[in-house]
Amino acid sequence: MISTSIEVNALRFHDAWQECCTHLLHARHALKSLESHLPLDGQKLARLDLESIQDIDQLVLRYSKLQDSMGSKLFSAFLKILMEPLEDSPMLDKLNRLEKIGVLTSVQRWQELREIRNRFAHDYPEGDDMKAAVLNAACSGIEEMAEILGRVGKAGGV
Amino acid sequence: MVPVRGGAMRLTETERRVLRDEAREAFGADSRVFLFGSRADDARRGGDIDLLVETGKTGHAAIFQAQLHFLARVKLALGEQKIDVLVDYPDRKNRPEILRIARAQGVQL
Repeated sequence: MISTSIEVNALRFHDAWQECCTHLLHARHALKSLESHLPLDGQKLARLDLESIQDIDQLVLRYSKLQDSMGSKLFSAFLKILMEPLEDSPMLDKLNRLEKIGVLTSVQRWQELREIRNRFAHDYPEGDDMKAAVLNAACSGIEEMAEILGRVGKAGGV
Repeated sequence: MVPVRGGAMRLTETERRVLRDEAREAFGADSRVFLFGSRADDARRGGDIDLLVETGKTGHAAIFQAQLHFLARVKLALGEQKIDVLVDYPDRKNRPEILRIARAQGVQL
């Protein structure tokens, strides 16, 4: 029984890791397509062609999905294969543990990456300059999440 | 005119203190934070925490960074909550009606 649950945990971790890698791949593809416009500002944002607006939508979608998948699936699955399930613990305990292991450089920074995602889920009455600032923050956030994903993969033996 | 209903709000003393202190830390010592919406109304229940922050800080990127910093620190201190923050800053270009309403109804923390 114990060996079966270890296998299941390893499988779940692997699936979650793969899912995150797929989101990262698409986010980076969008980032590359937008390269010539970065960093964005209000004026550039207002003048983007339809193709680039699709790239922005893709970036926002994949940023959000990557952040969600890492937070809700990958981190829990990772702690399980380390035999540190913390299953019934609050998210903050899990994040603190991940910081201690060295996967997260800072719990606060992870929460900030989360707030960028929350921002996309909420329609704020903002002008183009502020929208551009949010998107620029997401662009650098993607590479930060990629680094965290890399560290989780390495520690998890993927 | 200072609103007479200054005491009306449904936040604990800890929540008030954390929101006020973290706003000053993120947006500067001269910043002011107001609670508006359902939490500023004693007759209602539950609801998101709607905040208006007034700051002398400028620059869209700096304002957004301050907002991220503020929300992250508040949620690490108080736990996951639904908090919406409007920021009024000197070089803000668009001034939606909600800013005026928030300021008129808001109770300063």
